[in-house]
Amino acid sequence: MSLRVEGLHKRFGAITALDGLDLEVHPGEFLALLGGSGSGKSTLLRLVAGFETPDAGRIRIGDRDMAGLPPPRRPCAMMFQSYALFPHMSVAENIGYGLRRAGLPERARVEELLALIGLAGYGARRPAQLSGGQQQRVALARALATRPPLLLLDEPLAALDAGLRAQTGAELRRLQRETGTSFVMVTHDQAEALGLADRIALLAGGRLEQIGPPREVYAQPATRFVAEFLGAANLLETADGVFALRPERLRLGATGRLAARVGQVAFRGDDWSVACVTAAGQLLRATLPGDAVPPEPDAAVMLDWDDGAMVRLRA
Amino acid sequence: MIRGMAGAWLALLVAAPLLVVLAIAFAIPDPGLPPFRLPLQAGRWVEGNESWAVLTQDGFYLAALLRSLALAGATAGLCLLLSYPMALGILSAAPERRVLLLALVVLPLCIGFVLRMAAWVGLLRDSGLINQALQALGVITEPWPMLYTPGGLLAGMVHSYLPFALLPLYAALAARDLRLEEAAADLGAGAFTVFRTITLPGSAAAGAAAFLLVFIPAAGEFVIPAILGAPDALLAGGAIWQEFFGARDWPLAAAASVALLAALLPPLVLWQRLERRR
Amino acid sequence: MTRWVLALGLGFLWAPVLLMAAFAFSENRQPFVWGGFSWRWFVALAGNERMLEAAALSLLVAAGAASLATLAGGALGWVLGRHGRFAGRGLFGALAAAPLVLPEVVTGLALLLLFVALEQLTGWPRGRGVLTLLLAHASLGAAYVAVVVQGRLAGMGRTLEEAAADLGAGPGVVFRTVTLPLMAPSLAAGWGLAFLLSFDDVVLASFTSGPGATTLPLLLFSQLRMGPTPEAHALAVVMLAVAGLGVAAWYAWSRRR
Repeated sequence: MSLRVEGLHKRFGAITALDGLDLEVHPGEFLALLGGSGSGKSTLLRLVAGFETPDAGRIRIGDRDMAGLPPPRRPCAMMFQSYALFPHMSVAENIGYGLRRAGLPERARVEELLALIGLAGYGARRPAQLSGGQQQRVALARALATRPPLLLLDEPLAALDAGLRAQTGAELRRLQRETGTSFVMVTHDQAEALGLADRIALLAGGRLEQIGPPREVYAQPATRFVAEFLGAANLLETADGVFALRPERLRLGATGRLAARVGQVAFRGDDWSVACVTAAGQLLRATLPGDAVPPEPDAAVMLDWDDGAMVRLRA
Repeated sequence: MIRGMAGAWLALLVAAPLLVVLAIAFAIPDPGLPPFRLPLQAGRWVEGNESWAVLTQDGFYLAALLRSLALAGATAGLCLLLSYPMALGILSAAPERRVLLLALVVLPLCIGFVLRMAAWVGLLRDSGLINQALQALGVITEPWPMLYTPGGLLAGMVHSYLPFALLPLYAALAARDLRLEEAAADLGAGAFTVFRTITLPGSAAAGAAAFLLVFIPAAGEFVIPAILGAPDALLAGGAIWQEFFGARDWPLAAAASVALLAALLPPLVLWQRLERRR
Repeated sequence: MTRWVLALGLGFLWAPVLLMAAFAFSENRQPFVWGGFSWRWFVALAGNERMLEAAALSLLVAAGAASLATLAGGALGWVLGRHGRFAGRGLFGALAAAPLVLPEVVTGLALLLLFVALEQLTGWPRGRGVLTLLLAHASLGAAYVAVVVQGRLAGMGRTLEEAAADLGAGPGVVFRTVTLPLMAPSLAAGWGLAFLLSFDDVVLASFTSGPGATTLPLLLFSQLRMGPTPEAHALAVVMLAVAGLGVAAWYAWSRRR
């Protein structure tokens, strides 16, 4: 189901969390909300779920306006950052909680979900007896139990170790495809957003900076914030404006557009990071493949790039 | 609705009694039943309340209040002095033994307040166990009076209030960041210097709060002094009791209560500030 | 060093109590004078009807006051922990905490004066007795329950309740299925605290209890003013045994968990 947010404002005392946000999520889409702390991404989720009331603006899920609807009557479900599993209920009771509230048959659906998340036979356990990854899957199953058309996920992978995170992320993606549910996932981890989502919405200061498919926002950052937040970027200020240039698009050689002197050279496993200082004194970073032979520090080089590599940024 | 019911509970059983005390503090003693008349009659203020004049001009009540504050200060000071190292001692034990040690602190409370005082009477009085023992050892020939002395009273007070200082101090010290002490030791501080420069300053607020947590109720204590204290050195709580039950001067008892509350207000505010800062 | 002070402090706390318990087994009528081993004071205690009646009344009042305090204090703690800001919240919080810090003499006097004033105005309550005592103990106990409950609610945050609401539970269902079960341990702890406060109280009872309602502490207190009795020693042993067994059972239960 689609989600449409128009002109959303929310203040907490002196702090403006959302400052006129417009956003649309398509049916069956996996959207990642990416931003730093204080960007308003979690506030947006809480407004959509109904835990907070917007100061201004509208939230529509499908063709229904959510204004005045309390959380239990909204068609979306939320997966909480720390999972919020009820500690005094068994795993099965946790998963069946929403079904019970809706008066839906419980047992068969709970068994089906336990199997789906690979925890068949764990129904009688308490959440405290599960590992972090297992708890995460139970929280997901609980949120999906009543087949909500829209799922809100607040940092669903943040509490897992790095090893589990990639595997669980792929699992999320698979479940999203299989159920056809629209996912809105809040994250501060750019790799997670780039790897999982159909589209990424970048938020800063309670406003939408850019929205688009991962490749597009990476290759064509619209603003300085996006260029610097997603990956690394060299910023070039010229008379025509400010441009972003990704380090991997820079080439070092005997000929090129710009003369520079090599500064620090650092090996990072996959690649080399080479700092170059231009004649004008500007620092530009280049990355070279890990198997390349890096230039000597202090060597004179020419920097070159393809015509499309320089992306002009909005002021 | 629940808020309304809870508010009604507070209004009836907390606010109303205090307002009644305040009203009766300004009432006029009367031989009837109840033994007072309200000063506001038919919309006119009637003179005749002497409670405040008595309280401020008769040195007896001021002396009782000062004695109470002194006893409360001594009790709270001794409790703090004992309970601080005791809390550290419990924390230096293995974690699974700490619960047991805490239970040992709390268990003596369970025989009840009155029986604990009875035990002190049995120990302290002239024919009591301590005098029996000292006489048997030949240290003294005549009984050494301990019951109804300030020392004996203080022993009973500290015995009753020690756990109330110890438990919050223990909680505060248990929650301290041990890495700070390790860092100080790593930087070359000896055990005592670590204590003086890190542990003690870090727990000063908790110590002050524990002191006040004993001081405030101890200042109004009435039962322990009634059993262990000297009958002629009346304390604030005892004075209120005496005016109410003995002299049946309800307005004076109410006024003395208001005065005691006023005296306890500064430490109360200080305690609230300390709690809020933590 | 701290261990030595700990040993000293525990010795100070325990010595009077243990000595009192030891002399419960002394034949001598004089307390704290040894006269050979005997069970006679336990037998005397078991046959002391005034003491048994007072103990029964104390248990009854304590249970009743603790239950009432749990209801009222639970509501107070819930309002303080979950209602956010409302007009008069500062006064509400101050009044809820006031019985914790007021000197008992003042609380007792204030409640008695209230009951007298109420009787003058409305004819209720008729005189002082079990009912007024129960209300006085409940008002003190409720303050303790409120603190415990409020602390628990603040500690557990609102996320679980939000999760329940998100899964389709209305406010009443959220309270019944999530808030109340999670509050239950603090309600139980508060009940126990209120029970002990009531069972051990002399001051409030002196003011608010009537001639027909003498609790165990009141009886012991009046006897103690005449001089300690050996039956009181026997009673101390019984209480120590009950509490010791209680602590041991709790310790075993908490280790098993």
